[in-house]
Amino acid sequence: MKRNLLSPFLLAAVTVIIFLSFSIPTNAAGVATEGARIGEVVILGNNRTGKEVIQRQLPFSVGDYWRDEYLALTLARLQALNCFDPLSLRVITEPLPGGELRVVVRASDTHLLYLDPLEFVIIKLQNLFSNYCTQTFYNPFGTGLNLTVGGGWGANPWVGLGFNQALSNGWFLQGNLQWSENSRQFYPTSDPPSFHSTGFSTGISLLCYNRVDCEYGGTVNYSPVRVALDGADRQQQAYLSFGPDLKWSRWFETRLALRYALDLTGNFPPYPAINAVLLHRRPIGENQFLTTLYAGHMANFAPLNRQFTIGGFGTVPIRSFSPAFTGHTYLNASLEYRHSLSGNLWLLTYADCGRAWSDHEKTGDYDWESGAGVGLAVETPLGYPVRLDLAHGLTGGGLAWRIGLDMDF
Amino acid sequence: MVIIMLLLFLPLETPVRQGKASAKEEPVVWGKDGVLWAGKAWSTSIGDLRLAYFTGSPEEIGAQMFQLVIAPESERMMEAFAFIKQQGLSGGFLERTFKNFYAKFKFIPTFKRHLPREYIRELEGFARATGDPRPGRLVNELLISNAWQDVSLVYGGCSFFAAWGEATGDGGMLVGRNLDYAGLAQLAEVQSVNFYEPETGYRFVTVNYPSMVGIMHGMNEKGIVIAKAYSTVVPEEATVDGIPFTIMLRHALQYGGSIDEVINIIKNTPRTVGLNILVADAARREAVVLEVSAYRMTVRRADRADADFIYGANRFLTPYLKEYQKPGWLSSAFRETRFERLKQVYWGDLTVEDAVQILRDKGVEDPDAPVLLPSIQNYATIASMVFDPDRLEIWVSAPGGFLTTDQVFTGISAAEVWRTGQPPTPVGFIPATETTPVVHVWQQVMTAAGASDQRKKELLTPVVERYPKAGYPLYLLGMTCLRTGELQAALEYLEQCVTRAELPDPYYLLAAHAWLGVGYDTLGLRQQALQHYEAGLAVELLEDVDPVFPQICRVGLRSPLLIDEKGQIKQAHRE
Repeated sequence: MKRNLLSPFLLAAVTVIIFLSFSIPTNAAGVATEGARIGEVVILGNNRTGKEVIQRQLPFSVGDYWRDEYLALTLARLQALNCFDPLSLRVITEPLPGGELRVVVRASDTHLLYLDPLEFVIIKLQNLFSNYCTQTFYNPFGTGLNLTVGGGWGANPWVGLGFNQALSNGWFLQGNLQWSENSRQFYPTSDPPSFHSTGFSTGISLLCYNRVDCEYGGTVNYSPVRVALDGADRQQQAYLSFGPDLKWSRWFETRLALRYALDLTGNFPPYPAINAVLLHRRPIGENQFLTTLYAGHMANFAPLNRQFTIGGFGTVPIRSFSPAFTGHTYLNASLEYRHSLSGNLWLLTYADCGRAWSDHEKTGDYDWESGAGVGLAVETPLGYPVRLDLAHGLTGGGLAWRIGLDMDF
Repeated sequence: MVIIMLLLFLPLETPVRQGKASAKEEPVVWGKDGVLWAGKAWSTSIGDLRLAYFTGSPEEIGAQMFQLVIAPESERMMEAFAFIKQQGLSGGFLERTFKNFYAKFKFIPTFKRHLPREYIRELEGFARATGDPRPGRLVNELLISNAWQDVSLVYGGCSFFAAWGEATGDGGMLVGRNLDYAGLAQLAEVQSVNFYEPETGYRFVTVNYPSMVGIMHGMNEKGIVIAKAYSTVVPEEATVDGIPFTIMLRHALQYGGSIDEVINIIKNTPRTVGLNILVADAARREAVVLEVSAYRMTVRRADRADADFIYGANRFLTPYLKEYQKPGWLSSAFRETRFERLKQVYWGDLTVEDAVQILRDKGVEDPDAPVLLPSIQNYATIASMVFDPDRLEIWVSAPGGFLTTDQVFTGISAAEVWRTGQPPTPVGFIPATETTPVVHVWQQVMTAAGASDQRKKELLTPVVERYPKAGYPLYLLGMTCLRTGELQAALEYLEQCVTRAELPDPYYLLAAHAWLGVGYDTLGLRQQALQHYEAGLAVELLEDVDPVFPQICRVGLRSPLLIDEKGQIKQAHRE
């Protein structure tokens, strides 16, 4: 691999400077209603979801005094229900005679099978190209329960079931059960580290949207599988992992997940792990500059099939490489500039740099890898764009492209 | 978007099988003495004015609508729909496919989720009565046709007013309403006055169009009158994820027994677009205008200075909703000034005849020097009516369509229809407008406004010679000449328009200056062009306008513009 065409240290320096130079925004507009008494709450559009399901998620009721943060918090909770039309979801305050407020919550149920038909088609096409398919049934009983089924085929077949149940006061319960057969090979491409596993993974999470800028919760996962590491004989493995999750968003966005994993069969050692993401969005006129730092660490004796995987267009991107770097530790930075063109177009440029550290004997050549690319994003009526990305490796990798919806745009 | 409209009318192209016994409950249709009967329901006409009476379950009402209104005149209905169908055929294959896809998988399921079941049942009754082998598909198409204004965000003008108490002669309430929608002129010619006696809710009357379940205006037996006018809102304040507004208004009229009940229904309805909704309550002697967007609503009441009289056009007047108004121009401010003026003229003794005169307003104050401007009545007005909710009477101009307001108004007692269930005898007529020379010329100008360029020239040239101070015909003629390449003539008319003519609505002054700038630029006379661009931007407007003409002026100040042989404006240096 070619080395260091884009110095990781330069990238790191730029990243740090950007994070340190964030500006604290002034108070949001619309404070005129702060402190006014809520005289009426109108809930509209819910013809399948019970009104009480929505009411349970509202951080206010009639007679309370309105606080501006209720707006974003209510929206976050209703979005987390994931069964309302995202384009018409609104929380509106409007003046009533006498200085009171009317709060209008517009939460329209969607089709049972999709939030939007265009999104459905695009996502299903994406799924099919990636050899899997999932389907969510949005709140079929009107109780705030979404059900998901899915399956994959090809080299790594899987089937899975999932649910998301809205509780109250911003609490949500999520769970999944999945059977999979998983064969993975990592970099380097010649004589790669590899594993093969077959078995179940089941998890349950409790998540709370308690404040505008903070989400927290916890996850328990149990994964009994038979695993063969680097062609060795299969062994039983049954990791039980648990730990808290935290997301904090204000001047920048932070996501943190802590885990402790314990193999109940005793064949593999227990280990702790931590995952963190730091994201800063800087508006430049109508344009936007995004800086993201990704980091993760776990004990270096964690088995290969439990270690981190980074690269590709995945959650920890190095977009000109395959998602095939494995390790017990990783560090990654991404810079992305989104230039608003006329109409609904965005021109994108980005650069990624990252590496994984592994104690595996075959990963001795791992080093910092970097890539850069350009893209075009076209806004859709769904509220997020379809984007086409073309990335080129600066330290190896190759030319990679992807087309798909970017729900985090 | 317009392709969606096509979805409605496609099935109507198939031969209509009147009275096909596709369901047992459908009544047999028979005619007697000029009245077509289907059970207790009937349709008839008084002169050019069609009337129909529907009663029973939602399915029965739907079937009656088809059998009594559509089937007897299927050929004429087809002609009326042809114009809309042509619009629907626009767009390439991909565009049409995409629209159809979205209609089928997004809009229709959405509307069905939101709609009260009874309106779906009414459409089902209609569909079954057609004998269509796939009534379910037809229901979907009918549903989209009832919602096409929500889907397409097609905005026309409209005006309404209500007067009561001290404003009227006997203290009673009167509501006048013009529906302005030139694109539906042909369809409006087959309008009918429909009396409903539904299983549930209040009896009501509306002036409506074939296959419409929803309404745009009407009056119920409790003396509640509802009328709407579009009011364009910013895109964030509109959605299709709700109940089509015409059906929302139908629901409000059918179930609203007082202003408060109507407000409550509209407040609790997932709405779609921006509207001004007049709600008049004869019993309470009050009328209000609900200013709504898809998400917001406020109630505008007649303030003390305007007590007993309220009006509306196509813009919001409350500070709260004004924040969400999309700039546009439908001459609302000018029409509002006319209402103010006419209120003073008729105050204290306003009768049904006076209400009709208000609806017929042509902006004329001085018959010797008419401004010949679109006003409360204008080139887009296709239906006019006055409601007298105290007597439960409706006065309707007939036939509907272009320049209908100047036609005879026929008074019908809805109370009599509901009491007897029989075709009514008219309670009176208000004669057509006397065609004085000024009226004739005004009608000529309005006809020109919607005519081809050649026809415009034919109609307007004698007008500007006879009335050289009437700014609007000068503006129309100058603009037409500019588009057709007659630059010198265009500049003369437009110069005359901005220097010597009267233009009570300064929007036309802005537009004339913009066109003049383009005209002079096209001739290479940059200095004159710059003067007009600057003059255009200096015009003090009565309301927020769409940005087209200010943009022309701003761009023209930066670099020369020209108008090409197709009548399109371009930047000169790009040629």
